[in-house]
Amino acid sequence: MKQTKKYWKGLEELNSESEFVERAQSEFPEYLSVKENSDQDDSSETSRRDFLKLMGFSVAAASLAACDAPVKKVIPYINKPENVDPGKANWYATSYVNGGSYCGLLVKTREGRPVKIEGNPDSITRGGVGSQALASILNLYDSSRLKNFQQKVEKDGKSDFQDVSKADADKQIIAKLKEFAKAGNKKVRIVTETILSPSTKSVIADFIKKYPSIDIQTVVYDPISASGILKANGGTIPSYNFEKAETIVGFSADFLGTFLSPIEFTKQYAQNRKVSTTKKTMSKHFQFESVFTLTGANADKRFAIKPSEEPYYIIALYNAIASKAGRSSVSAKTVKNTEAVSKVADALWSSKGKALVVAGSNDEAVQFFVAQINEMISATIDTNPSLIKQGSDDSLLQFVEDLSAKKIDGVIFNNANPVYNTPFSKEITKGLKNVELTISFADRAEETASECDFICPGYHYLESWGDVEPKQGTVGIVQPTISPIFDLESKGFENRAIQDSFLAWSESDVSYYTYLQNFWKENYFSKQTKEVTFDKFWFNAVRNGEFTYSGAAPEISTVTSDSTGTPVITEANSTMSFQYNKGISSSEAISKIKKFYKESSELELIVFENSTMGSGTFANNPWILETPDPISKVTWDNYVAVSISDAKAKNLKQGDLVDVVLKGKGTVVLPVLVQPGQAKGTVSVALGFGRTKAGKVAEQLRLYKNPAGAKVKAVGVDVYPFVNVKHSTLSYSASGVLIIPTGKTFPLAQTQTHHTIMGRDTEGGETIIQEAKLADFNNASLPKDQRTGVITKLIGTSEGAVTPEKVDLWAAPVRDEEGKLAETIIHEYKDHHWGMVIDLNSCTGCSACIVSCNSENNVPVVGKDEVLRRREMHWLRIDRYYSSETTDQGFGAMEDPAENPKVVFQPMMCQHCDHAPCETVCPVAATTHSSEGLNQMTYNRCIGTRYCANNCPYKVRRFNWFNYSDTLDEDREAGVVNVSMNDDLGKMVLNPDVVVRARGTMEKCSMCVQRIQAGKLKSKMEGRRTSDDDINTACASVCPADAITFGDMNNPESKISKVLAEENADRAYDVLSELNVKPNVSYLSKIRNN
Amino acid sequence: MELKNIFKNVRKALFIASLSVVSVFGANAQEPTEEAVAEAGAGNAEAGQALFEANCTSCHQLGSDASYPDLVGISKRRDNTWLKQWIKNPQKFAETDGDAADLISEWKAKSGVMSSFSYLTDEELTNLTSYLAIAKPQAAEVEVKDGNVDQKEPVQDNSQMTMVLALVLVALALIVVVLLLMYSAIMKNLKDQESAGSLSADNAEYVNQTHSIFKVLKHPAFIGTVAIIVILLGAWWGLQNVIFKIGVDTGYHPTQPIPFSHKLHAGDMEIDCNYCHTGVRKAKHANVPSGSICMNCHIKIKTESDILKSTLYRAMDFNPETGEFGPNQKPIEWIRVHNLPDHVYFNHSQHVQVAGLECEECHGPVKEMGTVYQYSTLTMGWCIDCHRNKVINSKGNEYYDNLVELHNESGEGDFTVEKNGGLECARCHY
Repeated sequence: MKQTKKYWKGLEELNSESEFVERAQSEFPEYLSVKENSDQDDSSETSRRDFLKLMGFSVAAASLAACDAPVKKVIPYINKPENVDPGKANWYATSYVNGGSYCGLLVKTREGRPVKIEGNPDSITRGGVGSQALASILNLYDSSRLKNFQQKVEKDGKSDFQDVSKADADKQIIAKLKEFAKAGNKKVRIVTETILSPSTKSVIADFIKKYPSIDIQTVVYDPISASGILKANGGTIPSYNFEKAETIVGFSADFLGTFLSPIEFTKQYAQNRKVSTTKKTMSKHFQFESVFTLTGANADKRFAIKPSEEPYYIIALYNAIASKAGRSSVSAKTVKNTEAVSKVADALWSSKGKALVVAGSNDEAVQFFVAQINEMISATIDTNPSLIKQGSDDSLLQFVEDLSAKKIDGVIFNNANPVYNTPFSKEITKGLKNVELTISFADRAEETASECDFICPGYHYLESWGDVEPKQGTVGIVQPTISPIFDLESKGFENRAIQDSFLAWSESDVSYYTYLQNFWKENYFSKQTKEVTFDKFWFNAVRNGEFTYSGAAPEISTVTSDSTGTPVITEANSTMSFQYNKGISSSEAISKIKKFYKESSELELIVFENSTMGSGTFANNPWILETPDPISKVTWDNYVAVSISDAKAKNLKQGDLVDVVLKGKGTVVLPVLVQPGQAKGTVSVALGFGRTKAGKVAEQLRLYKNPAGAKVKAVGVDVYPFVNVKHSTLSYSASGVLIIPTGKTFPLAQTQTHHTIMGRDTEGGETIIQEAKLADFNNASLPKDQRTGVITKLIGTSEGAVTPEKVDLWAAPVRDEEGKLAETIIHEYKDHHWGMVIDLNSCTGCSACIVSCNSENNVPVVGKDEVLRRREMHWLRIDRYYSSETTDQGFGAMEDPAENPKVVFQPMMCQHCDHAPCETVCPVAATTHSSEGLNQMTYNRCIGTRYCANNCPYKVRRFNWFNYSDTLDEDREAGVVNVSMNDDLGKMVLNPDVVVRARGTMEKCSMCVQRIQAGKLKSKMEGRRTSDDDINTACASVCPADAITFGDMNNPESKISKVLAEENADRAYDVLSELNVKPNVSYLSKIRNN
Repeated sequence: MELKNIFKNVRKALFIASLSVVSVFGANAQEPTEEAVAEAGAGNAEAGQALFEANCTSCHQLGSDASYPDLVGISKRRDNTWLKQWIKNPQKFAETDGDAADLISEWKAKSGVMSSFSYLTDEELTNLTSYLAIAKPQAAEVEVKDGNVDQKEPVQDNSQMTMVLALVLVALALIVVVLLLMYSAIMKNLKDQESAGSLSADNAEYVNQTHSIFKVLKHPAFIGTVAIIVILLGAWWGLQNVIFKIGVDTGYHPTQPIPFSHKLHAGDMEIDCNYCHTGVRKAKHANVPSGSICMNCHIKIKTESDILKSTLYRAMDFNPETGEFGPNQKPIEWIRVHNLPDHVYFNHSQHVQVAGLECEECHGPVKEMGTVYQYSTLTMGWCIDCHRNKVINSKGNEYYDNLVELHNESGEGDFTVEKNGGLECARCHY
C-alpha cells in the first residue's frame, strides 16, 4: 500500500473546515473591514460622503503642513565623549541572565542608547541569542518602571505608595535593621531567584556579616524549580553536553526551549543535527513527553506519555540499561510501550560514552534514576557543573511555613516575585502583613513588591555592572551600555543598583563597581598569568565579555543554621564538583515513585513554561507577547491544550471557554486549543501569563479581553496556583483535573493559517517542504530526488512535461553584437549577489529570529485584535507544518497519525525572487530589483494598492493598515501595545537607520539592506572587498542553531558560496520551484533519522 | 529690392552675433586653467599641509604671532627632531629640554600651553615638518588667490554675455524700427498714389481693406485658445513655483542662537571643516560641534567679546576672567538648516571619505557665508543628477577593483555612480 506524507498547518486545514477553505483563497479577506474601532457596529461604517470630506480635509491639511515646515533643532553635546560619534554605532560586550537562560551578548548602541542585541561569539552560547534576551532591550525602555524609591504609607485608612528619597529610605531601613540587631533573636530572609553573580553573593554575605546578631538567611528558589536535579546530582546541575551526544533521550525536558540553558543546548544540539555532503551522520533524539514542546517537535521519535507514566518509563529504561550493564534491576509497574523502551535502550547502549538522558522532572526520586542511567552509559556530561539554577524547594517551603507562623521579622525580595511565580501567593501575601520590614528591589510595583513597605528599584541589566557565573569556571561580565535612565538628578529620578543598596545598608562607602573590581582582583586576577597588571586584565575581561578559569572557585562566606536555628557563617570556597550522588537509596526512590505516581482514568494537568513567555518576567513586553508560540502559533494568550481524541470525546472545539478545575487548588477559565501531539488523557497550560501588576501592556483592557472576564486586567491566565507540592518538592503536574465547558467561546489569535501558501500544497506540498530519510540520504545508488528529497515538479505542455525553466516568461540573458545586454534581459549580478540559505535540518523553530528582525527593522506590534484580523506585521514568520503518514489519499483518513504528528519548521521571509511577481504588478514601481539581487521596497513611493501582496506566492508582504506609530490614542490597541513607536521612552529602542513606515504602505523583509549598505561602506572606507564578517542579517546573526546563512554568492570565499557549491547539486531547493520565480533564498531539505 | 537687402542685413547681424557668442564660449573652454602647484613638489608636504590645516590652523596663523607663535620659517629656528618631540607632547618634552621649557613659560600667560598631538604617527610628523619648511605667510597666499585669473573669469564671462545679448536686442530693435519706417513710407506712397488716382486695382484693395481687430478678439475660437493658453501657462507656473517647491527649502536661513560666522572661521581663519565637524569622515552625521570644541580656541581667543559672553560662555558656564567652568552647562540649541525627510538615508562618510567630495559641492560657498543657509535644493532630483554624472572615486580603493574591471569590459563610458547602481531605490530608501 502506498504511503503518502501529508503536510498541514492546523487542524482546520486537516479537516478542511469551511472557514479555512474560504480564508485560504484571499490574501485580504474583504469581510474584515477596516475599522478604527472594533466596538463600533457595522451601521457606522464610513460612507462615501464622509470619505470625500475626509479626503478634502487631508488634502487641505497636507498643503497647510507643507507651507510651514517644522523648525528642527540640532543639539550637540556639551563635551563630546571621545568614543561616541553621532551616527556611528558602539558595541559593548555584556551578559544576559534571566530565569536560568544565559546568553553572552554584544549590544549595539547609538548615541549612547542600546538599540540592538546580538550574540557574543566568544561566550559559551557562541553567538546564539534567545528570543527573550533579544526582547529584553525593550524592557529597558519600559515606561512602567519606577522612577523613584517607594514607601508604603497609610492615608485615610488606605495604604498607598509614595516617593521617598534614597537617603530617607536608607535611614529608615538601617534604623530598623539596627533595632533588630539590638533586640536579637530576629529573623530576616533575603528571598531571591538564583543569583549567578559571585560578587553579588559576596555583597550579600558581607551584609549578613554586618548584622551578626540578626538571623539573616537567603532563601533561593526558582520559578521553575530544578531542586530535584540538584538533589540527585550532589547539589549541582550536571553540565549536559548535547554536542558530543550521539543518542539523546529526553523525558519532558524542553532543553531547546526552556530547560536549564536552552541557548547553549541549542547551539550544541544543532551541530550534531546538521548533515552535508561530507558529514552523513546525525544524532538520534528520542523524546517522551505529554506537552508538545519545541524539543519534542525536533525529536526523531516522540512518544506522548502521561506524567503519571513517566517515572515508570524511566525505571523501565533504567532496568533495560542495567541488564546490559550487569546491574540489578528494580521492580516497578510495566509500561505500555515496552518496544519503545527497548529500542531506546539499545540505541543508548550502542552509543555508550556518547549518549545522554535528560529529564525535566523536579522529583528527586525520578532524577535519581536518570542520574543512574547517565552513569551507566557514561553520559556526555562536562566536569564543570552548571550553576544555572540553585533554588531549593525546601528553603522556599520552610520560608512559607515560617512566614505563616509569624516567625519572620524582615524580608528582602531580590529579583523575586513569589506572590506571582510560586503557588504560595495567598500564604505569602497574608504572611507579609505580619512582617515588620519588607523590601523589594523590583523595578515596578509588581505582585510581591506591592505588598512591601519599601520598593528600592534596581537597574536594568543593560544599565548595570556585574558578573555572572553560569557554569563553574566561566564568568561573564555585565557592563552598562547606557547610563541608568531612572537615576537622573536633574529629573529627580533615583534608582540604584541592587548591590549598592546592600552595600548602603551595610554602611559601606564602597560603590558596587569598586567592590566588583576588588572582587575580581582578589579572586580572578590571580587565577591567570596572561596579564601582568590588573587594569589590563580587567579591560580585556570587559572587552571580551567572558573570562574562564580553572581550579577553585572564589571564597564566599555561606550562611547556614545549626540545629538550634542560630546562623553559622562559614568561609568556604564555593567550588562545586559534579558527581552522580546517590542522595536517596534506590529502594527509597522506588517507594516514593510508587506512592506518588498512580495511573487513573482521570485527566492529568501539566503546567509548563513555554519557550516565548518563560516564567512571566516578560509579561509587559509586547514583542514577546506577539511572537507566536512555536508549536501552537498562538499569540497574546495562554490556553488549555487538549488532545484531539479528548476533544472529540468531550465535544470540545477550538476556542471553547472552559472552567479548569483542580481539586483543592481552585478554578480558572481558559479557552481550549486542540493540540495535535498532546498526550491522550492530559491537558496542559502555559505559565507566565495572567500578571495583574506588570505594567501598561500587561494590564491593557481596551480591546484585549481576559478569558476570565472583561474586568480582569491581565493578558492570559495565571496558573501558578496549580503547581503542586509532592513530598516537599514542587510538582508541575496533577491528576484529577476537570474540564467543564462554559458554553462561551473566546477567540485565540493563532497565526498558523495566516498567509497560507494557498492551494499549492494540496498535492502533498512537495515543493514547499522537502525531506528525506537519513538511510536514503546515505544510499549513493539512489537517484537524487529520493536521496535528498528534492523533487522538481514538471510542467505539462503540448510537447509533454518539461522543467519549469523551459516555460519561462522571462528572457534569458542575451547580449547583442556589441556585447551589450539586450533590452529583454532583466537581471544579471556581476559584483555582489546577496543570498540566503536556510537549513531545515538545523532550524528548531525557536523564534529568536522573529524577535531579532522586529528589533532591527522597527516592525510594529499590532495587538491581539489586529492579529485576529490577520494583520500581524512580522517580516519573518516561521511556518510550522505538521506531517503525518497515511496509507490513503485525502486528509479525512489521517485521524490516527495526526494524534502525534511530525513537525517541520520553515522560516519564511521575502525570497527576493529574480523573477519577482510583485515587481511586475506594482503600478508605481515602488518595488524594484537591485543590481545586487535584492527585491527593494520603496515605502515613500508605495501608494498601497496591495497588488504586490496578492501576487506574492510566498505571502510575505505586510500592509500597514493603520499608522502604528505615534498613535497616542489609548483607545486604539496599537496606542497601548506598540510601545516602541508610541511611547517617548519606548521610541529609544528604534533603529535609527530604518524608517518607521506610515499607514497605507506595504513592507517586507529587505534582507537587512541597511546592514548591507553599512557593511559595504565599512569595507570601502578600509579599501578592501567585503567579507562575511562585514555583513550579516539580523535573523542569521542570532540564530542559536546556525540554520540561516547569509552572504555574497558571488564571493567564492563566503560561507554561503561554499555551502551552495556543495549543496546546489544536493539538498538545496527553491520553495515552489515550479513557479520558476528564481528566489535568492534557498532551503536545504530536511533529513530525518527515520 | 530694398526688402531683400534688409533681410540680408538682418541675417548678417545675426551671424555676427552668434559668432561672437561662440567665440566667447570657445575662448572660455580653451583658456588653460592654471592650478596652483605646490612648490615643494614632494607629496609629503601636501599631506603635511592637510595635517596642518586639520590640526594646527585653529591656533597658529601663518605670518602672524598675534596670539600664537608664527610657524613661518620654523624649520630654520628648530631642527626636525626637536619639532617632532615638541608636537608629540610639548609639556613632557619641556621636562627634558630647556628651549621647550623657555618657550612654554614665554607663551603660557598669553596663549596657554599647546596640547599634545601624540596620536600623530612618525610619518605624519615628517609630512608636517616638511610642510612647515615651505609654509608661507597666510596673507601672501590670500593675495595670490585674489589675483588668480580663475576667480575673475566667470564674472568676465557674464558681462560679455550680457553685452552680446544687449547688442543683439539693439540690432533687432533697429530692424523693427527700419521695417516700420519702410511700412509707413510705402503706405504713404500708396496713399499718395491713391489721391493721385494712379493706384493699381491690387494695391487699392490692400489700402482700402476693412478688417477690424475687435472682431477677431471677440471670436469664441480666439477667446477659447487664449483661455487655454493662459490656464496651461498658469498651471505650468503653479507646478514649477508652488507644487514643486513644497518641501524645497533652498535659501532657508534661520536665525541661530549664536551668530556663528563660517566666513570668519572657515573662510578667513581657514580652519578645516573637519576640525569642528568631526564625524564627517567617519560617520553618518557630520556633527554639529560640541561646545567643548568651540572652547578649544575660545578659552583664550576673543575672551573679551560680548557676543561670546552672552552665548557660548553662558552655555558653557565659562568665566573668561577666571578661566573657569561652572556647573550649569547647557547644550547650545542650534536650528537645523539641512533637513532630509526620514525616509532618506544619507551618510556623510560615504560621500566625503569614500567619494572624496568637497563640502562645498553640496553646501555651497560656506567659506563666504555669514550664518549658514541652505544652498542646494536637497531634492531627490538633485541627488540623482549628481549620481548620474559623478565618476566614482575608485582609484586606490580595492573595493572597487572588481567593479571597475567589470565596467571597463562593458565599455559604457565613465564609471559613474549610476553605473554602480547608484539610482536604485534601496541605496537611500530603507
